[in-house]
Amino acid sequence: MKLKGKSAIIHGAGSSVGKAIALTLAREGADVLLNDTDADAVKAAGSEVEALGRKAVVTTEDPVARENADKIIKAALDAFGKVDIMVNCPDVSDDSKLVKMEDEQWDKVIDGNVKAVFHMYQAIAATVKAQASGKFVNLTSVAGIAGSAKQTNYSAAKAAIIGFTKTMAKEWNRFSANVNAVAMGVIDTSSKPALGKRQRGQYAAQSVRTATTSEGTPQDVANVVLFLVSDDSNYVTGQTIVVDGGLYV
Amino acid sequence: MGRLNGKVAVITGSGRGIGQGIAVKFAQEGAAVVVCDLDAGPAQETVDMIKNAGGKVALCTGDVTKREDAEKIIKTALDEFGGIDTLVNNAGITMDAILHKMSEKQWDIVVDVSLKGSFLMSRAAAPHIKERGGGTIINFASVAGLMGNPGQTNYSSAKAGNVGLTLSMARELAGDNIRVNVIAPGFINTRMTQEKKEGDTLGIPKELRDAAIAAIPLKRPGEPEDLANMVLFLCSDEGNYLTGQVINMDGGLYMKRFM
Repeated sequence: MKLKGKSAIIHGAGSSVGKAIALTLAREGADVLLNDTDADAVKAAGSEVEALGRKAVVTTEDPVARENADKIIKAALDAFGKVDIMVNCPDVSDDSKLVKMEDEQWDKVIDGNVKAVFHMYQAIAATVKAQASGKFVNLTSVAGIAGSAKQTNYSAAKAAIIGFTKTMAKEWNRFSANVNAVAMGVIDTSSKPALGKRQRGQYAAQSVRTATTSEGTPQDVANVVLFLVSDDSNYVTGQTIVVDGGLYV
Repeated sequence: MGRLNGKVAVITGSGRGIGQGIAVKFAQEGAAVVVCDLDAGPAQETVDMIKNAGGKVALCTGDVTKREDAEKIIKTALDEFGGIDTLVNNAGITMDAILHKMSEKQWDIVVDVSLKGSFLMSRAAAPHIKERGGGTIINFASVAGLMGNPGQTNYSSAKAGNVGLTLSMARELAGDNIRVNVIAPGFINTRMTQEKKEGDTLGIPKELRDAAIAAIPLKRPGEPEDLANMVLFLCSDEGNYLTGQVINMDGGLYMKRFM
């Protein structure tokens, strides 16, 4: 097991990708705090982590508000006494053409995907400094790398996460922390489709497919996250690893 | 014959520095320019510079983070010059602090001015640029957004966000013949990067400044005019086949990686 004795926080663990990450880390020995505002989904994911024989703590906070981020970190410290790993995978989208996009749509997507993550890092900063270690992964999207029509808000947010990740890698280098990002392509998420048919067609038209012709699975993403939170990646930081089956080559 | 004869351009943050350099350059090349800035005094200074040189110019003070102000700024172009061909989203601000000392206010102001402002201005302008049969929008990223920079989680997030925003806008607006590109400046001589002397609120201490310049392959800071030349190129007919591009203007500070 690669993560024996480790403890992890997964924000966004109610989504299919977040759940796959939580279960993958648990299988490798980690205890997990699962957070998501979707209470039913995150509780179900927590039960699956427990079924693997690991400790699972479930919270349903929205870290767009700083005090809620503090509650998540405190719950993890209370339960585990330390936090070795934090994975942020919020996925808030609300698509519109630029000229029809409302201010509320913009704010919701920027805040949910970026400000919430900023608050999670602020809330855990003192712990990272004290521990002088930590593995951090932020999930982002190829929409932030290549753009996507009707997703100005989402692609701005997901590109922002890449800039944020690089700055955090540089700021926390002195705490021996690794901070990386994983950019997802088209992932088959049975419960909540990542992309509609029209967008899938758009991606296909924009890209030259190489290695695979099928959609990725949440497990494909979780495997890369596992690498980035394990000791196998100790010399990797500030990077954005693209997991898209060669969609953008 | 100027390279922008007959064009109308709105340039945000054009009271000072880079924005002022772009506004003056555009006017020299024949564009009618709407100067806008939060601060009336510096904006008026840019207006006077253009007027004194015989250029066409209008002034609109406003806050790009407010929907009604963004719409008012675009309306100035329509009322004064009958339309808009080019929008330059230059307005930006820094408020640095390392992560655990950054206040929510510092986060919000920087993300709102540097990222939401680009969105609000572009949303207000795009239908009118379309009416002219097409045109250009320029957003501003920064090497801080491409490389990350300690003390600037807010700024690097906002500036990287402009890259994603630009790429989506370029795809979405290509059908309207609107080209959208993003420029990432490196170390440019402005009041934000001048040598900080005693009593100055803005600027960079001499040792840090010297070290930053030593790290630039060309060994010198850029000037606002260097950026103005690039914006002019992208917005003139010479840039007609360029859209969705990230262009670094940084003396080689962040060379593109082949990967």
